[in-house]
Amino acid sequence: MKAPFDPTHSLKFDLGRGRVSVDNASVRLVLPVDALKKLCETAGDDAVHDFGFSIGTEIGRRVANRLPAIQLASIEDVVEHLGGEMALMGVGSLGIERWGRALVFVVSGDPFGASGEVLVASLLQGAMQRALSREVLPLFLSRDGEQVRFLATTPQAASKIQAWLANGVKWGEALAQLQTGAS
Amino acid sequence: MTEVDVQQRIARLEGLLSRVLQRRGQPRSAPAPENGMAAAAPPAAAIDDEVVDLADDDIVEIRESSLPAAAPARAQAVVPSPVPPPPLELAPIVQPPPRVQPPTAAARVEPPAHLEAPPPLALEQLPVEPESYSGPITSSDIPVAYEPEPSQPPPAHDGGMGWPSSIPPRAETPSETSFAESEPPPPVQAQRPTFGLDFDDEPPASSERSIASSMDEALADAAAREVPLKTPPPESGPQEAVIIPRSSALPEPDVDEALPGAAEAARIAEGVPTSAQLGNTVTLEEGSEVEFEVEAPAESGRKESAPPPSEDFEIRLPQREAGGTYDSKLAPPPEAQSELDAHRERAAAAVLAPAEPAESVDALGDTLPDETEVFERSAVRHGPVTSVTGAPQRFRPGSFLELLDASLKLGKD
Repeated sequence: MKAPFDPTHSLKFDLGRGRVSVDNASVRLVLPVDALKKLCETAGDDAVHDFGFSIGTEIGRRVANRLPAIQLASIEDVVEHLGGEMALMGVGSLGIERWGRALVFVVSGDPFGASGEVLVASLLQGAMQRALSREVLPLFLSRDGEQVRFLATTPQAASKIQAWLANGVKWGEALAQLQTGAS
Repeated sequence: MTEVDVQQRIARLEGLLSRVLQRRGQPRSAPAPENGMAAAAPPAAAIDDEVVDLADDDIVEIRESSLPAAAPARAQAVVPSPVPPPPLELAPIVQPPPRVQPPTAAARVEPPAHLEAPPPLALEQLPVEPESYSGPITSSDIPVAYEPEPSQPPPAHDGGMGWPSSIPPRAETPSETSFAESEPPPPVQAQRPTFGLDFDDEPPASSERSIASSMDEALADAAAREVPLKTPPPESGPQEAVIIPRSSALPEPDVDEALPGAAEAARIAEGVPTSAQLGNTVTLEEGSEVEFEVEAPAESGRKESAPPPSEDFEIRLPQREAGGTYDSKLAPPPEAQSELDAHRERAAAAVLAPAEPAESVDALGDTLPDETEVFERSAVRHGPVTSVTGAPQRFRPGSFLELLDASLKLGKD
C-alpha cells in the first residue's frame, strides 16, 4: 500500500509573531545557505556531523510518524516520505538506487555543494537511525554535478571500499567486488 | 601434163632461182624519192631476164635446202587461185606483205589520193624479183578463203606472204615504211598456208599419199599403214615403233636375267627342287619312338563351355556359372593359417562375452596382429545426461528495511 506524501499545511508562517513552524510543532529558521556553509566550514566535521545528524533525526521521526509500519514500508514509500521531508527542509531531492544488494542514496540539488557532503551524510544517518533503528554509515561514493551518491554500509565495509577507491578502483567496480566477496 | 613438161618447167624454175640467188647481193634500186615512196618499179633496163610465164598448173614444190632462211620470205610464186589474178597494175608503193592486225585496229586505209600510179607494166616487164613486183594485195583482191582440194598438198605454213585475212592491213605511213629502206619484214606466222614456194618445210607425209577414191580403199590403206604403237603419250599422238633389224638384234637374255621365277618354274615343272629349296633343306635324323598319352581332363566343378574348342585355337573362358565357386576341401595357405586362427578366436570371444567393456587398444595390442587395430567405444553408462544451470535468483527486496539490511551485510567477513 502506497502512502503518498502530503505536505499540505506542513509549513506555517506566523507573520504576526514572526515564526515559521512545521506542522505546528517545531520552529524553523529560514537562513541563507552561504552563512550556514561558512559556519559549517569553521565548525569542523564533528560539529557538522552532529548538526546534520540532529537534522536527520528530526526527519526520521516525522517519516516514522507518517509511516506507521515503516518496518514493512517499501522502498517507494520510504523514498516518498523521506524524500518529501528532506525536500520540505530544502536540503535536496532524495533518490534510491539498488546495485544488487547494495543500497545507494542519491541526493540531488543540495544547496551545500562539495562542502556539504558530511552534512548530508549525517542527515541520512540520523534519519535511518531514528526511523528504522539501524546504524547506517552513509559512505560518499561520487558526485556528478548536483548528484551525490552515498552507499548505505557499515564501518567495516566502508574501510574496504575506501581502500579500493584510493587504489583507483571505480565506485561501480568497488560495489561489484563488494557483492562478490560478500556472497 | 607430161613428165617432160614438168622437167622442163623445173629446169626453168631452177634457172630462175639461180638468177635470183645471183642478184641477191646487188644493191637495190635508186634512193627513195622525196616523198619517201620507194620506187616501185626498177628501170626497164634492169629487166633483162626472161620472163617466166607460169600458169595455174605450174605449182611445184622446189626444195632447196641450201637456200637461206630469208629467201622464202622473198620468194614469190604465182598465186594459185581460181580467181583470176588482179590486173597487173602496180601500186606506186611497194608495201610489205600485209600483216595480220587485231580486230580492234582494223581499219581500211585507202592509199593516198595524190599518188598517181605509174602506167601499168606488162608481166614480162616486171623485174624478176618477186618481192619487188608483188602488188599490193588487198583483201578485196584475195579470195576470202582458200580451201585446198583434197588431192592437193596443203600449202606451206611459212611463206613470204601470209594468208590474207579479211582484216585489211594496217595503214602505214610512208615515212615509216619504204621499200628502199625497209628491211625484209619478219616472217609472219600465218595461220593458214600460203601460196608461196616453200623451200624449207618438208611436205607433210600425208601429201605424198595417194588419195583413196573410196572408203574401202582408205580403210585398206590405213590397215596396211597401221603400225604397232609404242606407249603413245597422251598428247603426242601415235608413234611408230622402231623396228630393229634382225641382224642387229640383242642376244638372247641369260637365264638369270630372265623374268624372276621363270627358271624356278621350269625346275618345278621338271620335278627338280629349286635352288632355294635345296639351300634351306636340313636333313633330320629320325628319333626314337616315344608314346604320348593325352589324358582327358578330370571332371570337376569347372565346367567348360558347351561348344568344343574349335580348330582355330580360340581359348574358351569359363562361363559365368562357374565363377565364385571353390572347393570346400581346399586347405588354406600356410601363411594365412595364423590369421584365420586369430579371427576364429576373436569371434568366439565376442560371442561369449558381448557385454564386457571393450578393452583398451594397448591391451589388445598383444593379441591382435600389427596390421589390424580395433577401436571400440566403451559402453554408455546410464545416468542423467543433462544438467540445467538456472540463472541466479535476482534479489528482490520486499521492503526498504530488507534492502537496507542486505546492504549493511555487504563487506562483513
